[in-house]
Amino acid sequence: MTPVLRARGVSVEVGGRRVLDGVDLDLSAGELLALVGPNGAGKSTLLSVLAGDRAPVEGSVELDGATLDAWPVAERARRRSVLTQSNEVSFPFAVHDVVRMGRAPWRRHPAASRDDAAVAEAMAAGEVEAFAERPVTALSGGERARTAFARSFAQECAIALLDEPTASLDIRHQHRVLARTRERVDAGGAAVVVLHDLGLAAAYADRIALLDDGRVVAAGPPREVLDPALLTRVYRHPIDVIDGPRGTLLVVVAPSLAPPPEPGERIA
Amino acid sequence: MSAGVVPRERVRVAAPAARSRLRIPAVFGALSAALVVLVVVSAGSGQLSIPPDQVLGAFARAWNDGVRAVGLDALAVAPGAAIAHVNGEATLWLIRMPRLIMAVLVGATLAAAGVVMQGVFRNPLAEPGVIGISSGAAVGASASIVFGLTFLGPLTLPVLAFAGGLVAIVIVYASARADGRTEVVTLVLTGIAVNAVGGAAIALFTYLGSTQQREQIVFWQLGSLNGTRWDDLAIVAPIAAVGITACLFLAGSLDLLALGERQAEHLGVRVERLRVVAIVVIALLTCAAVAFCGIIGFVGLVVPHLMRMVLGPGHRLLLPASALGGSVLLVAGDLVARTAVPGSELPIGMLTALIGGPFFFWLLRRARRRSGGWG
Repeated sequence: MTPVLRARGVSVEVGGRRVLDGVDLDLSAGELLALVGPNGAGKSTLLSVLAGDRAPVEGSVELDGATLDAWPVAERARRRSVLTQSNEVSFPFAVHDVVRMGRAPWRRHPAASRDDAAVAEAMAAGEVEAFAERPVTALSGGERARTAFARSFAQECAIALLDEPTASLDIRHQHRVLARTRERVDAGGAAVVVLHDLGLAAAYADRIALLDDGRVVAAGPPREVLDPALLTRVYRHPIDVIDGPRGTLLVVVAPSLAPPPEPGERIA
Repeated sequence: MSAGVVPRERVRVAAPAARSRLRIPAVFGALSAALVVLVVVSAGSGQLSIPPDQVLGAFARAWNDGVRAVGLDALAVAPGAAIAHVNGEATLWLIRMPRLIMAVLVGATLAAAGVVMQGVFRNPLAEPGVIGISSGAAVGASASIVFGLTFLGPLTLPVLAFAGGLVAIVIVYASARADGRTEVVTLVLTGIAVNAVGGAAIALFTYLGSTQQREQIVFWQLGSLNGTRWDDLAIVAPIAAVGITACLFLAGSLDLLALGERQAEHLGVRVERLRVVAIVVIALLTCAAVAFCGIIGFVGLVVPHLMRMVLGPGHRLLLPASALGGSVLLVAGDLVARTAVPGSELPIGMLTALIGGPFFFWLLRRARRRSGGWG
């Protein structure tokens, strides 16, 4: 199957430092790909390259068979939606207005007839109806994140790029966001999701790409990538993966306790 | 989810929507009515007082002359009361009307420029004075006064002020760009630097000038609509019309820009192009206003903010409402400036700064309290 999004040899430098080094990545229709890895591994940078925000110093990104630059900005907006990590709105727009902004790429397009339905579905997906009339600047961090998710969901693109969509959400909404994204993918879409929670990645992703220091160190189905030895090495912290109930994978992390005092050392 | 929750949510969602549907025509109606009343009152006020019915009569006769000239006699209205005073007609049409129309245009351009500036900088505190356009224009004007430049006749000062403002905004924009993007904080700080240099240049010109030139520089900086001629309007009116129309075309993109630059681009907005167009439009509108009338500050700050409180932040409504509100504010301000002290005239720039300064301070305090920063 031809990938809908393909990165080849992508390298990015920030302030002289290589934050991405020759990354290859394919995303096919019907696939949810999770990007995981420790802080500074290059997950968000890779996502911003895939989104077209950042030009790589080497390598290229192809969207639907043509390089990203070849697509006009407006056409890109109809093919892929992007949910960034921080979503500060500079003026007090009401939540439903913000969600409706997700429909902007479809103005003067036949799909604009779906505007109302898409907004209603997106508001339900983010569960933001209860505060639909409130200004987005007056919401809590989690509510703002759900509003931003609803906005990108309303865009109804075949490809969804989400950067830590679950970061500030409670458990119900973490799963809701990933379940709605999963449904879109199962209906023929595709998604790249940056996640910190390996358990969520195992539960929702078809494939996981594990990044470390700007390189993809492993990519494949969750059971392959979530290898205790590999994770322990990459995260520099003891991690176990065990089979849970109903075919789930449980990622078990040992708590980081202070080392016992050396014999003879006095406790301050 | 229980069945009982849904209808209650619907009611709560529906009520504000119904209220805002009434609010929009109410706001535009009230502003238009205020503008008409103020224009009639202001046209009749001054040393030579003309009663409102005579002002309306004069308007009716001018209207009839106009429609007959283009052959639309059917549109003619009843000629109202004639102006009683012998000099009334001349005072109204040669002195007051050009000045009033200038107030309407300048108020609208300054307020519209303020809305676009705040939208494009994503900061409700942005204002033409903040990024240095006003001081750039003042440098151009001072230079023409001190060096007695007359190469363009009476247009020399306005053209030089326009050029100075344009140079200032281009410098700010060019030097605040890095990696093809413009950081808001950098832009505002660069504006401060430009303001400082502009202030130094004005100080130098003030130092070099004769007593009479100094007075001229000072009064230009205070801002005034005094002495507006129809010739001036012939220049300002087309610029205002083109600029405000261009603003309306930017409205949808400015809404999306509120989400952030990257986010707007993800939704199909060509952000860099939007910024360039917006900067040019802002420069055009502000310079057109400043060049003829001097520095009239804070209109672009106060009016958009009040309108945002009433109508919300959507630019499609905010832009026309602010333009209208700016006209109302400036016509009212000019009426006060002309009539508050009998036989004398206050500078309108001083009046707007007197209201705008404390307002800016209040906004600053509120912005800091709300976000813990400058957002």
